[in-house]
Formats: sequence, structure tokens, C-alpha cells
Amino acid sequence: MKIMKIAVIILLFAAAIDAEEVLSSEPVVIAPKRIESETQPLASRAVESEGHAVSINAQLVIAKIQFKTGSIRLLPAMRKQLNQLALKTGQKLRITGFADAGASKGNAVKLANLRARVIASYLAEQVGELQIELQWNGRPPEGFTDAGAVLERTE
Amino acid sequence: MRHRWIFFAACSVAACAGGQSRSGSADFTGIVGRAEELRAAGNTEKSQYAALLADFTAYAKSNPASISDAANRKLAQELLQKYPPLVCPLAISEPAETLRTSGGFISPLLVSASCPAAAPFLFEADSADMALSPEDMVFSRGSMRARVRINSATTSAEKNRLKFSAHYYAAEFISEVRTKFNLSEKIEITLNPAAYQLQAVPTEKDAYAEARTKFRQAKLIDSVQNGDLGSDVALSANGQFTVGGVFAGRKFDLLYGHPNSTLPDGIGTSFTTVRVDGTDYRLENLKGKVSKADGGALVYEAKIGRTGISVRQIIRPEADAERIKTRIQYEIHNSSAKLHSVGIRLLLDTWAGQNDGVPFLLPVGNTAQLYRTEVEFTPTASVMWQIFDIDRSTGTMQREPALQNILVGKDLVPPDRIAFANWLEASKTLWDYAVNSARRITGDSAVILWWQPATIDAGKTQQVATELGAYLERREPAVFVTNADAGEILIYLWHHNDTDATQKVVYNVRAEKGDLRFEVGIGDQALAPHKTFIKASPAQVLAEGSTTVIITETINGVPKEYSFPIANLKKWKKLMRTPVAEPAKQFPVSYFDERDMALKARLVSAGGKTLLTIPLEKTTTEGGFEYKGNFEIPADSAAGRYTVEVVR
Repeated sequence: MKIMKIAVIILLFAAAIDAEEVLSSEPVVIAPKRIESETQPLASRAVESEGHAVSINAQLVIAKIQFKTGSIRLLPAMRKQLNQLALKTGQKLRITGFADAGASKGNAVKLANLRARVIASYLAEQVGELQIELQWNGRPPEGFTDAGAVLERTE
Repeated sequence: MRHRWIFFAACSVAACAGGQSRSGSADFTGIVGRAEELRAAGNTEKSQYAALLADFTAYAKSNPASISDAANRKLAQELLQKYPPLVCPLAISEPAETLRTSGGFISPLLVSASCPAAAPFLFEADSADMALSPEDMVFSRGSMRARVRINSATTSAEKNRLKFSAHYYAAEFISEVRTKFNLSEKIEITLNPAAYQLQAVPTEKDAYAEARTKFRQAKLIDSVQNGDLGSDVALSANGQFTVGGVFAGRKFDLLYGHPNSTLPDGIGTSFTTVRVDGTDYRLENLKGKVSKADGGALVYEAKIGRTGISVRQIIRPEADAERIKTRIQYEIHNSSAKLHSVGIRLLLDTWAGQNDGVPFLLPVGNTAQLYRTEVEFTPTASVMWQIFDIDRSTGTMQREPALQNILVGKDLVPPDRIAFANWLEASKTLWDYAVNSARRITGDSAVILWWQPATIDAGKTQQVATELGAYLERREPAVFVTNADAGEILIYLWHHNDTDATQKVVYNVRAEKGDLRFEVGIGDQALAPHKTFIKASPAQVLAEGSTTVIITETINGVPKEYSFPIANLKKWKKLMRTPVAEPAKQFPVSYFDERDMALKARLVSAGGKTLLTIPLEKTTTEGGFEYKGNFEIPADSAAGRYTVEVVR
């Protein structure tokens, strides 16, 4: 019983030592100083009415990203998968977006485009500046029908 | 019918140059010598070539025998060899934009040519039916690139046609020499093609036709007034807002469509995007509710899908005797059980000046920072932006309010980046936007503020805010108080040199009472004639109660003082810091307390991760202690929002 008391006192004492009082807190933004009249578009290409003819080199594929049907939200497991790629700034990637099998023609192109853009944006936020080429098509080519998007490391 | 000629000067030798006019050379050798000087210098002054022609005509008339002189004939032949006939192939590229009969293209048409001329020549574009204006021209190593703005087009596609031509500046003089000496070869610059039909199909549809169909009425409005100055805000039922101002009883728009009956009314062209884990949501498309908070702020709250993120947008007009200001604030709350990455993009359809036609200004120290085309910058480059009404920047016109956005101040969080953009192009995007210096902003301006996505832990709330408003153009130095509690101010230096001589401009800034933390950092300025120096820098006055900031402006050794009283300063228990920091630079912090303690400061990311911790050095000050230290911001620090905490 005595040992128990001592343990509790030690724990309370330790907690008291760790307790910190924040006296003041103010926001600050860290940003490099820059004024630029030309910036590079990132995943901002407009959705075009027709899907592109896409080319994928299976040997360069580093990730297949799945989405829920009709969704462009990156699932937590897919975010984890992207994080695990351990990409570095400046790397060259190609992201290809696809739609689901049942999507109508108009929606399919839009969905495919948005999926590619969502991944590009997510990677840019997590990694920094990357050299990303985007392509998309309503229908995935043979071998990629289980994916909503495919990432290739092109360099 | 419009008929517009535009001219570009191309110089083969160096930058286009003028020069002192010379005339009256007595003989042909002298005339040829002058012609060669003009050619070699790349001179593009028409009067010089006109004088040359006049002198040669007079010389030939009074010395008819000299034309048959063999030496003169040889000189003439050598002269003409410097102006060979040329064929310059042109490449024309149209911007990939909608061609509107009213407004033309947003970006200019690009004309490139391979034209290895060894003498300055004029390039001209004209159209019988379209309105054109020259943008700029670059000529280097025999290649020319000119940008031509199409300001309007016709409904008949076949009439949307340009003609191009080019000729040497010395063409008339050379032609006269050729005729007089009866030299056969004709001097010409031939452009191929010499005409171009626009490929874009014109539309009569107004660029704003679609936007107008989505205009909404104000559900809630509010305004505050302090003396002559007032701020006016309106909120639609779906959370979109506009802002206006009042000055001396006159109402005006600060954002397009503000319902004050002074310009077309209609809320809907400014909008907010919320990015949650990479997915973009337009705030007005979500199911939200509007309300009016205590104190008059207009509030819109919406849940972002099923993410557990909710956003509370608060638009609050604030009374201020010195400037018009409205606080635009977003509180982002994560009510889910997991962390999310959330960012805000605010697209403001700004109404700049009397007609949305004036340039934007970054007050960073010179008028080169005037922007008529798109640009992006960070808050470390400039903590505020303004419009710059050139017509009102000089002279004795009455003081007028001019649009501005202060990025730092009490409870404000500077955006990570800001862009001046063309509204029509920017409004097509939800988040990413690449600025392009070819796109004009005058006439259709917008400003984008990005608070980049930052991690928000479960149950936590983050806030971002900015101040949109207007200031009275004073044409002299000013002080904007941005946080009276902590003594945060913006020192705004302004001087226009309205003389014909360069002026030496020196500034000195001090506080009558207390400690002014401010590095002018501008040295002595040599201000060219008719140029304006404008620079805004954050500073802090460490004082209690009231003090006066005194700016001494010394022009060519003659000083003039400007005084700015500041009241309600509270030094104690306030963290003093500049709100923006640069990687690889020191970032100073100070804290004042009556108590004698051991304190440290830490730099914490938006996601709650402590990146740096430093002990604060204690010094005794009147009534208590000052605790201060410097963060060494690592060069590889990720850009974004952080918090500085003082911890006991």
C-alpha cells in the first residue's frame, strides 16, 4: 500500500514538472520571399470534352490508386500508399486518371480528370514541387481496370 | 469602323536609342556619316531620320553636280548595302481563349519573326475592323517577338484580320538616295505572311453572361461608420459576400456587385473554396446557414460533406477613423475523430479604382512594382497590396479612398500566397491557378488569397483572416495601426518626385516614447524625376499607453516631419513578433511580463508539431522584464502557417 502511494506521488510530481503554461500564442507564416509573374500550372488543366489517348508504361508504374465508385476523394488507405512512396521534390511523375466502368461518357472524362488532379494536388502538398504530367481517359486500358488512377515514375 | 495602326520599334544593335538631333552637314560624306551613326546606334527617333532626309534633299538640290561624283556614288552604294532587302517569315499564335467581339482576347497575340536586319526598322500591325494595341516587342539576334492585343473583334470571322508590315526607319532617306543616284535595287522588308486571319470564332456573348445568371441578392447587410469613413458588407443566403465603402457620404464598391446601387448589383463573383484532404468544395454550394452575430458580423456556417470539417465564415465591417476596413475570417473546425488537411482559397472580384482599370501596387520600394498583368507573391515579399490610381497619385485632387488589403494585424493570419489575376480566368478554377504575365488584370481584376492546406487534429479549430478595405491616398508617409494592443504598425513611406531632377530621399523613423522595432533598410534613395517611392514595412512600438511615431522625410537635405499618435498600447503579457518569417533568416520574438520567470519560446506547426524551441533571455525593463530570443528558421522549412508560443 505504501509503495502504491509513493508511486502515485511520483507520478503526480512528474506530471507537475511536465505541465507547461502557454503565456502567449501568435500566428506566423513562413514563406520564401518571392514575386513571380509566371507560375507553373499544377493540376489545373481544364477538363476537356474528350478524353485523351493515354499511354502507360507498366514498368514505370509505382502505384495504383483506387476510389469509391463515382468519387474523387482520396481514401485514407490511398493517402497512406502515396505517402509511402517517399517521393522527393523535383521528381518526374505521370498521373493517369480513369473513370468507373459504368460512368456516362461526359461524366467519365470529368471524373477521370478530377481523379488525376486530386492526386497531383495531394502529392504537391505533401512533397512539394514535382514535375507532374497529367493524362486522363474515361476508360482505363487493359490491365488497369481495377484502378481509378495510376502513377508512373517517369524519371 | 475602327482603323488602328500600331507601331513597334525594332533595333538590331542595342536597346532602342534616341540621341541629340544633328543637322546641317555640309557634304554628302557628312550626311552618310550621320546615317551610319544612327544605324549603328539603333536609333529609332523619327525626327533624326526626317532631318537626315531634309538635309540630303537640300544638299542634292544645291549641289546637283555632286550626284555624278564617283566618290559620292560609291559612298551611296556602300550605304545602301547596309539596308538589304529582307524577307522575314512570321509565326503567329493566338491565345487559347475565347475571342469576344467586345473585349477581344484576354492575352495578346504573339507574332514571332526571323528578321536579321542590321538597321532599326518599324514593325506595324493594323486592322480595318478590329481594335488593336501594342503590348511589347523584343528584338534580339535577328529574331523579333511582338505581342499585339486584340481589344475587340467583329461578328464576321472573315473581318477579324490583321495586316503586318515593316520598314527601315531610314527608308525614306535611303529611297531618296537610291533615286538620286539612280541605283537600281529597291529596299524592302517583306513579311511572310503579310496578313493573318484570326482562327478563333468570335462570340458576342458577354464574359459575364453566365456569372449574371448566378447573381444573388443580399440576405443580410451591415455597415459601420466612423467620421467620413464607412464599411459596408452584404451576404447572400448561400454565403457569398461583397464589400463596399463609404466616404463623405458617397458609396462605392470594393468588391464587384456590392448592392449599393452605384454599380450593377449582384453577389456571386467572389467565392471561397475549401480544400479538404485534396478535394475542393465551393463554400456556397454546400448546405449552410447565415446569421448575424453580435456586433453586426455576417456569418455563414457550412459542413463540408461528411468529412467532419465545418467552416464558419465571418464578415465583419470595422469602424476606423483612418481607413475603411472589413475583416474576412474563416474558422475551420474538425469535429471528426481523425486529422484532416484543410486549406482555404478566397477569390475576390476586386473593383479597383473608379472603373476597375487601374494597376495594382506592391509597396516594396519603387514604382516598378506596379502591375497591370498577373503576378503572384508571398507575404514576406509584401504584407499589403493596394491599387495605384495614377491619375490621382499626383496633383492636387481631393483625397480619395483606394482599395487595399492588409495581410497582417490583430488576429489576422497572412495567406501563404497571393495573386493578382484576371477574374474571368481565375473564376474558372477552384484551387490551383498559374499566373501569366500576358494576362491583363486592369478592367477585370481579381485577387486570390491562398491559405494552403494545413493539418487540423481531431476536435481542433484553426482560424485564418485578412483585412480588406481602402485607405485615403495621402501622397505622403502614413502609419497604419494593425494591432494597437501589441503596438504592431505598418510604416508607409510615400514620396513623389514632381521635379525634373533626381532627388535624394532619406527617411528616419522614431517613437517619441517607447522602443520602436523597425529597420528602415532603404538607405538613401536617389529618386528619378516624376517617379514615386512607396514602401510599407511592419514595425512594432513597445510602449504602454500612448506614443507618437515620427517619420522624418528628408528631400535633398530638407527635412519634414510627419507625426502619428498611437493610443491604447499594451505591452504586458503580449508576444511581440513580426507575423511573417523567411526560411534561413532570424525571427525575433519578445515577451513582457511583470513576473520574474524562466521562459522559452517554441515554433509550432499548424498540425501541432513543435519544430523549434529556444530559451528566452531575460532583461529588466521598467515595471517588469523583457524576455527575448531569435529563432533561426531553417533553410528547408516548409512554407505554411505556424504558431509562436511563449511557454513557462
